[in-house]
Amino acid sequence: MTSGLQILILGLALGGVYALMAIGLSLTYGVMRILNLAHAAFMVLGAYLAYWALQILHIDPLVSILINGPLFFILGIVLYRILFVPLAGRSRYTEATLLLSFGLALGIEGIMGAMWTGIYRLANPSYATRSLVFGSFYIPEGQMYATAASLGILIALWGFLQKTRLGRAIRATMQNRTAAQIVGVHVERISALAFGLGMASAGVSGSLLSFLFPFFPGKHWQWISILLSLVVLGGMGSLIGTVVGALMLAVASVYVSSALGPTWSPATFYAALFLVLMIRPQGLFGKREV
Amino acid sequence: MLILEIEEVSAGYGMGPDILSRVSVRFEAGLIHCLIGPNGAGKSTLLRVIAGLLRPRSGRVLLEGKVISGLRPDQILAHGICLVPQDRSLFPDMTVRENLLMGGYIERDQRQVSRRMEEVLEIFPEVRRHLNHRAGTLSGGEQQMVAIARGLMVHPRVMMLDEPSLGLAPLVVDRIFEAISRLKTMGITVLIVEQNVRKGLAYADRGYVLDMGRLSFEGPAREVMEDPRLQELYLGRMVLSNREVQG
Repeated sequence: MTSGLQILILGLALGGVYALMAIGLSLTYGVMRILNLAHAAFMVLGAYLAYWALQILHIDPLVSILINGPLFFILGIVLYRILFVPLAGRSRYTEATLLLSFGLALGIEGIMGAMWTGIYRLANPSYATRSLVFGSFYIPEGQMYATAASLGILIALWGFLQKTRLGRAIRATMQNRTAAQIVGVHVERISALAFGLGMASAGVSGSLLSFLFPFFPGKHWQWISILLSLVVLGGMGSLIGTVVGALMLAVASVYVSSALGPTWSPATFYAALFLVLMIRPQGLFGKREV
Repeated sequence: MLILEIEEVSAGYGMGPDILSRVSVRFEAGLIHCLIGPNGAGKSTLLRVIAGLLRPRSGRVLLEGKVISGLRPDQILAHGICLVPQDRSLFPDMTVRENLLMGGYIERDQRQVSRRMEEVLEIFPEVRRHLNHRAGTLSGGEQQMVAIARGLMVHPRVMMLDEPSLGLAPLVVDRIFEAISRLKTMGITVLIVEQNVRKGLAYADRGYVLDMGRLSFEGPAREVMEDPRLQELYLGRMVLSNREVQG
């Protein structure tokens, strides 16, 4: 048995990374009502790019954040323009985009499988196997860097959304799309920007994923399930809710893992998902759709 | 001097029927215009068409002789036409300050926006004490004031208000209309859609009566108020709907 405080430390550290992984999913849903089921597939793609960057070019996965971020941002904007814009104005836009993103996830999985086979990969930078010990507590060094990077990126994103003109426009579009149009926000352009940011977050999460968790092309299904459950817990489209949901579920899963064994840890997410849908379907910070 | 001309505009939503059918109206600069008419007459739709939120199926909208129909909402806003819609359309989770900043969104220079916000707060001092409150927590009347103030952020030449008195207590309604009169003294052309016919026409210079997607008649507000056709329109409709209920 691990001590309660140790579980909390590991859980919060993990939760910080989960929050970064899920924030883009929440942003894309909040701005456009697009539930991007391919989000985790892009995350795994980002992990592969970080993995090969380390293997071939000796670029540290933490440094590959600087490559994956802009790369996936541009990829996101291009994909949004080519695939999602033509669906705009459909009466069943959300359903159509759900199917589209599902197909996208399958496509990316297929491409990754064809190029890099189905074997497990895990990037192995020097710090991946070390742990930092503080008195009676420890934290894996890689985990600590990943959490610090996640928090840094989340704070930067928060600052952008709170303090800049474009960031405000994104939040405005999330809260009331028509009102945003009325004050002159070109909502299609803002949507493309939000989709790009969502994809960038998937890309940079991939860099962290590459050395934290073993991955293979089909792994994204498990990840999207985890991410969806914590986004639903926080409340669909609520960014603060996503962060809180990520921290709570990460701590819970570490606790379950320590008490019942690691095989039970994924079940935490599904149990939480069921509970939320039964008790408070709009999530902790969500609003009921009218 | 004419500022806005609506020429033979037809419009509707999705695959639905025409809500406006070949409407032609002209609005003069610097006056308060009040659009009245029964539910479904197309008053709000006309404002949405002018604001660019809805594309007309045919016809044109001209601002000082230049065609603006077909432009995007942000482009029409940049021409100085702003809309305060029926639901006020504030950003509920943002503070009043952020709502005002969003009102100045199309201005990229943030110093200009701050300067303009100060000017707007001088025109509407009652908004100042709510600056740090979340817009969603304000009362209906306060939200309406913020919505008008937000519209002013773009130095509008035309301000359109869709049922500004909706759901407000009579005393608050007076305050809102008094604020609308202030817009006129600033040289802004005002278009109001109003269910509260008496109140709307009392503050307006001209009245326009829409019915079944067409302009029924128009004239100086006082004359429209007295016009027997107005009584007929509202009363006639009521008798008809009563009969429908009974039948």
